[in-house]
Amino acid sequence: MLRFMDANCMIGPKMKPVQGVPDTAEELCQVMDRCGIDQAIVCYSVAKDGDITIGNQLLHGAISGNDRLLPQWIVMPNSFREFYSPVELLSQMKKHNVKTVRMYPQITNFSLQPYAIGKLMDALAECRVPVMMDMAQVSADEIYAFCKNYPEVKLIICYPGYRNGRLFDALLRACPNFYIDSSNYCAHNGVADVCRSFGAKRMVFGSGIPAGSATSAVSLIRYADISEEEKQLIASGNILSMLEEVRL
Amino acid sequence: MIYEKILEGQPLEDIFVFDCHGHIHPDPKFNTPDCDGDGLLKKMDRLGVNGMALSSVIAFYCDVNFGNEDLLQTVKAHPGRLYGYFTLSPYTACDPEKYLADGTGFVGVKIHASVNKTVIDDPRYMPSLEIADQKNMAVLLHTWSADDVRRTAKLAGQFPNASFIVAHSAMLGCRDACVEVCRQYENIYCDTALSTSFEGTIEYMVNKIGADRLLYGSDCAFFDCSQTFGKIGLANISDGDKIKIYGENARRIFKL
Repeated sequence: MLRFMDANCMIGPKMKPVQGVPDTAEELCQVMDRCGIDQAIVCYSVAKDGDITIGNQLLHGAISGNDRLLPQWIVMPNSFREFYSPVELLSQMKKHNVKTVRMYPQITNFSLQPYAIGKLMDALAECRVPVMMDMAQVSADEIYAFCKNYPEVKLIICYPGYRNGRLFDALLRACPNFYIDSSNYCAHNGVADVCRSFGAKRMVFGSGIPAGSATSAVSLIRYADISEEEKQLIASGNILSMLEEVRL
Repeated sequence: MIYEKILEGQPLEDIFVFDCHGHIHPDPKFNTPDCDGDGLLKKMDRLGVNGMALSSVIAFYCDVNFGNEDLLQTVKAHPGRLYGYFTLSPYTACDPEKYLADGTGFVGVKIHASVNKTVIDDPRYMPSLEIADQKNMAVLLHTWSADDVRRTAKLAGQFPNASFIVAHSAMLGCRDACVEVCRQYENIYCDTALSTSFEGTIEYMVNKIGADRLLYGSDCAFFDCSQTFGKIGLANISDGDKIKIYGENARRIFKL
């Protein structure tokens, strides 16, 4: 039986809740149980839609005592001292056992160029912390520039979308530190195509909750025309390897 | 039984599964590998899908005559597995009588009004809908808004012997409109095709309109068949409801 770890998942309150979409840790675990997902890396909606620092702190209360859920912080550069400095950030991440981060450069309005986030990326690269961004937040050219500017950072693009295969083929070829989340990479035979062309190590499993559904996401992997070993790498092997490399 | 099979990635060989929403031909905007008849059949076999009703992407994007004809040849090559929808164009003549005749393997009509840059109830679609009505056929409508869905109600009233399938129905922006029109007209059904949909959408639709009105549709080969297939199988509804959604409703509507 495949063991799944969900690498793309967000809980927390929404302005307009949707019936059936898990907001709390308990609700998420019920969905995970139904889909056969063992663990999930989760960030918190308030850190995305409200305030990063408050939201990141609220996350820990929301998942407290639940050892199936691993915390993920949303981060941004320390403009005008509104966020942690890179050194402080790593210290706080270590304290809270946070091993992955996510960025929303469009929502939080910052550049991905080295003049803006170079020091932040240097710090994350030194500790081998994987960085996640949604496809809706970046262009293919920005992904390329990011991967070339920060070659030691593993970048996972979330909610990749079924229409972006041509962009991803070129990016996977050009950028060895570029990975895609499987959540809605639902192109016909898309998962198998990535494995055939680039190997199974370039994709990590994600449910895409709250926008996506875990029931769909696990089925994309379970029914993909690839070997059980490749499925296991995508389901949890790849993200677990990345987490093991983190040195905080 | 179904839940366990889906959880293990096994094909559903013990029940009838019919995909009411598939396509042949590539989309120019993105890569759509293996989108010919053989490619679709391979995936269907992997899941245990008995049949699929297809429309031609080329037909609704640009060449209705080539698209429908190529689909006819594909359907003829795979009798009993692949079925066709006759795609309408409001601009170019294409003989509906030929494709909707008995024995062609075509089981309905497809309308993609947004690609046609018109509305679902455009009068130019009516002659073919009259044939669908006379023959008790299905009409698959690409719907992407509450307005699209509400226009379906008008057609359902006008052509009571046809079965109207509202595609992409579980989308948040129009699912309540789907519930509304399904409660108004018994000849309206909803399909499950979406690239991304919220957790719990199958349960929501079953709760609101009942499993008798929901059809498995994948939108393959735009999307991989497996995601919606698994979404139904892992939904928190009864096996009886799943069996209806997977194929028994389609068996009735398409007279399979």
